[in-house]
Amino acid sequence: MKREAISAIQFERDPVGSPTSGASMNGTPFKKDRASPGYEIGGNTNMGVNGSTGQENMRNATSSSSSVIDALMEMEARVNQEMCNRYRRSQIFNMNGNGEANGAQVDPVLQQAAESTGSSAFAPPNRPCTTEDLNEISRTTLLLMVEWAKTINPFMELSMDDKIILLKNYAPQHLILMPAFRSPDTTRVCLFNNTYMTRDNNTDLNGFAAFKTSNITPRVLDEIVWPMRQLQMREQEFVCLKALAFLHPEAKGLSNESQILIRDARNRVLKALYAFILDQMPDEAPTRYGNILLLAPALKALTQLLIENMTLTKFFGLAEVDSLLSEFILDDINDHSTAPVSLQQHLSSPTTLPTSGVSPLTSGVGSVGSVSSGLTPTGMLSQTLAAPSAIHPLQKQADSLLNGNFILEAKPPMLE
Amino acid sequence: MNIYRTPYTISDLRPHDFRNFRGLLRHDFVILFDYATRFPEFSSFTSHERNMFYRLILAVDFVLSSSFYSYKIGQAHRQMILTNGEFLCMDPLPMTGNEPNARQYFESEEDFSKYQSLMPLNIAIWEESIVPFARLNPTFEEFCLLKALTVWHVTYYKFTESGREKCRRQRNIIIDCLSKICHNQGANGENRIGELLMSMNYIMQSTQRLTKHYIMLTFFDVLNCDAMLHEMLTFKY
Repeated sequence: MKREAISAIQFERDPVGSPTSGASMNGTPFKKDRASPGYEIGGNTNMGVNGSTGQENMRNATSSSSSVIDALMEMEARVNQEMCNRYRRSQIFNMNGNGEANGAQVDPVLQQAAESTGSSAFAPPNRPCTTEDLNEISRTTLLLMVEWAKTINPFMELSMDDKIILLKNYAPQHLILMPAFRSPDTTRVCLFNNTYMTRDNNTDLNGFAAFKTSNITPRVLDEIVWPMRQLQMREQEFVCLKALAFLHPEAKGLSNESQILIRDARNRVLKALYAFILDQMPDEAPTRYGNILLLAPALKALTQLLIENMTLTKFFGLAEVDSLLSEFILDDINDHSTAPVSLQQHLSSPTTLPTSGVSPLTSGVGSVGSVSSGLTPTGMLSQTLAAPSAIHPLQKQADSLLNGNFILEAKPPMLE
Repeated sequence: MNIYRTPYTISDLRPHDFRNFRGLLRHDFVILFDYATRFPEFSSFTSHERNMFYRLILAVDFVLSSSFYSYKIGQAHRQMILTNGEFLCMDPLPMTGNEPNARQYFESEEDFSKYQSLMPLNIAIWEESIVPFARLNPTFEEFCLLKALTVWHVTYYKFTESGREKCRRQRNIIIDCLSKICHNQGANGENRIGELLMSMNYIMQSTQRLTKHYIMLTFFDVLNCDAMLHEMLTFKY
């Protein structure tokens, strides 16, 4: 069946160049010179002549792959914790317009829901998304994305320009991926702030959000959410997909050195993902691996749509485009005269998410170091965002995280 | 038989003539229709699905075949090889026509306008797809499978439910086959498959760019296109 598929796909312009000719089609390996600097063969998983050496290599490879995924999972958990802390508390305490908790009006239903969903990233969505919700959640998501990116090796080794290129390339995908994975079905996209967007949920939104969501939400549901649900994508696979979308060596403008570093890191994630799938579902590993990776092109196509929508929204003045969104998604990457100042400032500061002692994305087997016990995720994030230079001059005070709307008091360390 | 597994040899190539360039011509459509009909289950598609499938093959072929030819026979001289056997020197990158005083290099306004319409697209495809694709050093078999997979994937959401079922089936077969080939070639086969599949990101991006650009070109009648190309681009879902 598979050979028929190959033979049927004839190379159209060369009737002589039938794909059925040549030794490669019957499984016999053929040599191919791959001297390209960006492509590596071999590596640390070569099977030795001695079986024990080969087994040791396999164990090392499996261990290395597992540590990559473990570290990505840990970073994801920290980001989710930040989101949880922010939005779950906002549901428990009925906030007034100034963001001050109104203890007399604690909603018991919401409190119970929040407490009962201690293991989930967010409480069940309970109301449709508004324009303000969309702006606010996008901003928070992007800020946390920067912190997450800082923990991905070799991001911090890159030049500032290359960091910005990577972030700008990934930001729209992040805005789509994060809620898509958390959405339980294909009827609505659930956001971290306990709101949701349905396919037809654009009647209550103003021009900006309507423009932004009307033609994207159905496609996100069909092209991202549905395949994820059909595959029953696991969290481990999702974090790998995120990392792969982020580590894009072909992003326009990257320096050659950065491309090599990023390609190496991406290869490690690819290897880790395949090893995980092979361990979980050995029979269908190749097709599952391929189907997960096929989400990436669909995601990229949707980000183009997102960028177009926002560009037109800003151009026609349909609504105010959030300044951070504008920096990430709309500003010209190559126009350094309008370099995103606040973004550079965020990147210059150390990460606020606890990092492992050893990055799992470096070569060889690495062990995940212990989390720094003296800092809490919320406290660290607040410190980063609380720096005066981190606040964009156009940001409204009411929207600022600095004024303590959703910042909790210092909590005990997560790991002791 | 051509050792490069391309329809052209280096001696067949000729410089790109933007003045007389008209996009895809009648014989291109015939060749690609023949290609389309060879796809498994093509004959079982609905008329609408066949239409969509064929149209998107045209776009994918333009980008991917050009990328493969450029890699095989254009790399040495940094040339972009178009599917019609014409080449564009890309080192240094040609002007886009949007530079100050670019008009002075052209004899007529019509030439200038046509150059401005075509060259930025070629440069974008070169930078976006052809250069990274060449870096992959794809084999002929990988190229064939990748092109077929890209066609199936890019048409997936245009299909009815039964069409999508066929698409999923064919995609899985191709992925399985690609996996076997890559693992047979040596260690790190999973990396190789991953790289090939991730290359679909920029290939599909270029395909989308190409389609939109040609819709504009035909709408404003910049190219003296074949009537078939007009029909391809004005098809309604």
